Amino acid sequence: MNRVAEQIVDAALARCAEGDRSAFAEIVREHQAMVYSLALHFLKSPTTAEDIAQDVFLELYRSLSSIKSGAHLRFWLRKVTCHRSIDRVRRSRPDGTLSLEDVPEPAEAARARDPLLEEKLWKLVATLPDKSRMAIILRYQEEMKLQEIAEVMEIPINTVKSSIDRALELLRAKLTRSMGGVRV
Amino acid sequence: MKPLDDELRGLLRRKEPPAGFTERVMSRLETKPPRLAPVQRRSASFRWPVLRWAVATAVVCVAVIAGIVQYQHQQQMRAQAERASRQAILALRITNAQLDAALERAQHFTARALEVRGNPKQEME
Repeated sequence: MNRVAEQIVDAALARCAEGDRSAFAEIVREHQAMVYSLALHFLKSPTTAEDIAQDVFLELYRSLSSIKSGAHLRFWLRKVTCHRSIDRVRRSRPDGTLSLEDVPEPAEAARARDPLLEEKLWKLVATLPDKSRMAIILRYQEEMKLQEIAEVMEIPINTVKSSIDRALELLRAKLTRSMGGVRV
Repeated sequence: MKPLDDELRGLLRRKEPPAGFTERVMSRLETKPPRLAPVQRRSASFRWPVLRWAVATAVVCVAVIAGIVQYQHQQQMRAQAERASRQAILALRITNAQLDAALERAQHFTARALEVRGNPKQEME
């Protein structure tokens, strides 16, 4: 987020603290794509993602007094969205996750920007373990550094690094094999 | 074929929620106050720092007083047990002394009786 946008959010936060609800609407508008996309990419369900995103913003409204700045707000939203999304998946899937190795390999080769390739990649990402998947989403959707991901997910930075490395290795191997040995 | 990193960036780019998202959030705020989870409801009354500290202090005081009372009770019980033990030992000693004396007297009489039986003149004298 650039400096001007940061200042706008800071100003909106200050107005929120004075009870201005339209300022809160501005904050929602500014961050809704981030929150919704985190939940959507993790859960793969637009309805559940919207449900989670709405709950996150309602919780934000209750916690506004503890938010100190625009940067803190972004950190808070990412953190709460991550944890709520992971909780939702765990509640709805008590028998554990699918392993990446369990996913059947796609049979045909694919080309760049091929919607089929995207679909395959999407499916492979969806089968990663919860924490690896969230780390990958934070890394590639939000372009976050490892340290930031570790803080948001409340896990050691080495765990984040190894999760992402392992997830990428698995994704690469699966995709390469599915494309008849073409390295990705 | 683009590298995997670029594929993932393209795949995981941000997407806007369905139209009217902000309005739906705001209407949920307007219609009813956000329902607090049970834990949050419980903690809501503890947001005031003074109240929180007062409750914490009261809990600590009650715990300390209960500890002192319990300790005193235990001390009393131990003192009573020691006193009873001392009395029992004294009673045993007294009984022992009396038994010793009785035994000594019995032995004395027995010896005398034997002496008289061995020398009847002594009794006649």
